[in-house]
Amino acid sequence: MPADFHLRVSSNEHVGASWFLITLAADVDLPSWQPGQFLMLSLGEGQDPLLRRPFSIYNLPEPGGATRSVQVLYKILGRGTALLSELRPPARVPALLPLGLGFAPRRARGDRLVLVAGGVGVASLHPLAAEEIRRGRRPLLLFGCRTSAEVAGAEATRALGVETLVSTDDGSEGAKGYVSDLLDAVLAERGTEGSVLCVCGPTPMMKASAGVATRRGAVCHVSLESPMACGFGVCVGCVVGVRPEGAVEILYRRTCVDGPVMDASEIVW
Amino acid sequence: MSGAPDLSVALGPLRLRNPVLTASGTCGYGEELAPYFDVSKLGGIVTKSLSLLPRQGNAPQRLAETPSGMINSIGLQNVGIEAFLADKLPFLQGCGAAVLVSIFGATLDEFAELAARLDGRPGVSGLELNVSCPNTLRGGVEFGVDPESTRRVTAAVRERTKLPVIVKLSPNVTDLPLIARAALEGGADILSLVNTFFGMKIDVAARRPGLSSGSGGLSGPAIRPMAVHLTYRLARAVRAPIIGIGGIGTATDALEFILAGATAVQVGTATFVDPCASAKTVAGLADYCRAHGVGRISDLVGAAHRGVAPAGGSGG
Repeated sequence: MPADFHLRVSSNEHVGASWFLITLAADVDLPSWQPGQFLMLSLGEGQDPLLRRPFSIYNLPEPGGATRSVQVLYKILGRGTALLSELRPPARVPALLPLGLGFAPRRARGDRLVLVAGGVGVASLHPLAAEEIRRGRRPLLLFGCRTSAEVAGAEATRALGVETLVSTDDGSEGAKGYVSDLLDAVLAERGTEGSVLCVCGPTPMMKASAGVATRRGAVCHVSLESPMACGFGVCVGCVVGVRPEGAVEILYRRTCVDGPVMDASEIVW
Repeated sequence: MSGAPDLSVALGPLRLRNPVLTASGTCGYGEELAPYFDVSKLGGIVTKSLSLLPRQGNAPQRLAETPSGMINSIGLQNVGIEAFLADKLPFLQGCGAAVLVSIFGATLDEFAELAARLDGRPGVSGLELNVSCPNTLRGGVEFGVDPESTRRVTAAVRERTKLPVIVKLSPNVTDLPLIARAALEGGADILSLVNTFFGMKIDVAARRPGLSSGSGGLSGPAIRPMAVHLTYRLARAVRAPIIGIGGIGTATDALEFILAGATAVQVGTATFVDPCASAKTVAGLADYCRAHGVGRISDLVGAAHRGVAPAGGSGG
């Protein structure tokens, strides 16, 4: 059950480029969550900015319960994230969590997850990678970013023991080009059989990756991001167009409660 | 002062245990708020506006944040009256708060038909006519900006229901009291105001409007002073009970409207920011009454008018 928690900033570390990892502590045990679920963070007591901001939850809950800490990996993209980066301990931050539907990949026994991250999209895939590792599975991470300066954003995921292949737009590290091209090359080389894709990143990157999945016949889940006011289903502002199998018309589903993780094959990009 | 303050209010035929309602379009069908607080603490819930048939709403992007506010263009996405009666009403019937169903029609007949379908339904305490939605091509604000259309749509609904009828007014008019009087002539029991103000945001990087539909409706604390002013003005112009709406998120905000002449209030955009904002407003009103020796909150309705000479509404 989601609830509003008055969290305390315990650290807000610079991770490289304009990326930060904020750790928030709770005075009470937090409800458990799934990889891919998100929280709505308030950015202060004032009314400007007014709305909370959605962020993927970066860490996994403690296996035995009694989780008292939640992390968010973020990149400064606008005014809200810039304000977030200025928070220092012991600032208090209200956070509504856990929200949305996380990753529950459709897969057969033995299927391997291929995690495809575009930039800070790695934030929602990291806990999925951690959960896979915890269960003794071997996920593959394809991490695409602009330049080598951002590669540090995937370091914590790689450090879990996740096989990681990197692409950069400028070729300063790993393969040169988009991560969707890297995905295509990897699937061509290793085959699609036994692979389930989980993708998170900018919309054009997810669209391109979903296209690769369709072409190569792979199951693909995407974690979407839309501007949203509430995060719990009442504003109906965060909709995404979908066309489920057999449907003629486009339906609008709410990213916050019907997602953020959705089946890529249904999305009208 | 001894005992709990009396927060109950009467708006014509509609009695509420306290003056705080959740505004249409900000609380879904009520059940979405249930994980966060006991909704029976509310005076009432105003549902998302319902149409006869389900509506898909407008294409995204539907939201843009603005200084101390936001602009939306949802386009009344809703499940339609059939699914509402089958799937959503049962929760509301047992929720313990008054249930006010917001209805929206593209035509007069659609409004009348919706009223007829809801008349006599157990658990429905009243109807709010959305004649003021800025985000639809037909219906909505088309009715609410014209006095004769407002009178006719209200009369058409009045003819088909015994339920208390609230008409939700648009602020996007030159003469709000004129529209309000037309609604009352049509048989409205209560007036609620305001719906959102027309607003627009331009995405400078993309050099186009920030919302797919171009413009939308502005809500949030940014509109509160304008909404308080319209409430104050309307309270001087008509005798009908008023529900104040516009940027209310705390008891202090609610009190501004009550003192300006509103008998009840609706909490809207604030629920997006804090799902418990409406419940906290109820608690805050009780605290205020206790702290200031107010036995009955209804004694405060319109108190800001006392001792103020009648004057022109607009500044200058």
